[in-house]
Amino acid sequence: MQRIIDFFLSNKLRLLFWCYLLIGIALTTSENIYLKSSYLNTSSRLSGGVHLFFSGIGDYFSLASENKFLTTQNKVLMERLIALEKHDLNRDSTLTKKNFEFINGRIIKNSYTGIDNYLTLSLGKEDSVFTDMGVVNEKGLLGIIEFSGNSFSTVQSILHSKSKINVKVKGTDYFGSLVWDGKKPNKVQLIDIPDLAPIKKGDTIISGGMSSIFPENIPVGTIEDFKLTAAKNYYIVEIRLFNDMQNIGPVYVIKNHLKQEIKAVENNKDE
Amino acid sequence: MNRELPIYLPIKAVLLILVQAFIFSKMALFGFISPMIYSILLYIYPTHKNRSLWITWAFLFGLSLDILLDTLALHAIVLLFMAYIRPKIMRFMFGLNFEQKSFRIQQAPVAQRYTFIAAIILLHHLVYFSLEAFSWSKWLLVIEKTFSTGIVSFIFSLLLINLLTTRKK
Repeated sequence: MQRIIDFFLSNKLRLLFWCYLLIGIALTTSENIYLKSSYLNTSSRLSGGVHLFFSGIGDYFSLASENKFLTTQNKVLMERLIALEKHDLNRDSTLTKKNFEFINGRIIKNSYTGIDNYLTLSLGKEDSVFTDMGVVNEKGLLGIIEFSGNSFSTVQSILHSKSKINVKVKGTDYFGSLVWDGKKPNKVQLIDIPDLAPIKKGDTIISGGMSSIFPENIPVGTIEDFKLTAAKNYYIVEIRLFNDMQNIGPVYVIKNHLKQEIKAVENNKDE
Repeated sequence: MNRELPIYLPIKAVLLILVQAFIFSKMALFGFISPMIYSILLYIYPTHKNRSLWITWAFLFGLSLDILLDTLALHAIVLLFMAYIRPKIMRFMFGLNFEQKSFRIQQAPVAQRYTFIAAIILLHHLVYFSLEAFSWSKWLLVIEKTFSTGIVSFIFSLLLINLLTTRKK
């Protein structure tokens, strides 16, 4: 017994180090849903309040510019609405069924310089915001909700090494995946576009609508450059984002009312 | 006023966390560099204090940053590792002087001090970005980020150290 106590006392520092290291590794890599969600929930509650306070101060100073931006956006939307009404007066009412609902919120913490970036959103389960919902703003895609707490959520930004979003070249049916190489926050890459695709610099990239997270036609960016992969059968396309990821502004969470139905059909198909 | 009193260390640490989370982590110099200046904790913490307390401190400090920055426990792991190997780096940098109980980094020659700061920042950044990337295929990105962010962090750290440490008259 004395030996065991002596062992612990003489290796106190080393044991303490390994103990903390294991806690750190568990919090970072654990797949245990209970552990991870308890940690994320507590941390989002703690940090959310602090970030909300500081972002509130910052928001106060940008009220004038935000107001101006909203008026301009309102004008554009009014013009689009009038144009749509003119053309679609006799549209079949069953086609206008509302699949996607937009919930407005704001980003209280933004990161864009790491290899894996996350945003903190001022909405949570209390606002009907759940995991795997898409987040956009008026300029385009921002990310997907990774974790939803009661009042705050964590969004996996498109500037994340594991982000892979289905997009397509506007005006064509060539689909690919949007990824990020971890370098510049205003540039992302489009992969899996076949070499047959008629792409050129300046072409617009939009969401592909192949998943139940984002509807089709949400803007992403424009093609800045492209080259063939080593196997010469696919392009790697450099995209300049429409969004300024360093200055995001008001955002919208997309709720797909048909998500459960789509998932049920997909699961059925798999069986 | 004696700025070496134990009360000043927690105050400095809280200040460092706030400055890192709300100023430096929000910076994007050249569009992609966010300096990580909190590693100067490894410089300002006294050398011959209780080492178990020191690594506990480092872990909790890192975890507080992780909570504020949504980085799971990456900062906690890196700071814990750096705190654990700090005596080895110091022995390597300062030689026999470090073994003396009266040794204080602040009293070492300027060149040695700056080399020590540069070494801890580079090592800290290398471990942090390697853990963040967690893939061999991204080694070039890790090296790029370590050096670009490391140089900027070094400059800001020197400025902060001069603000935070006691100057002998």
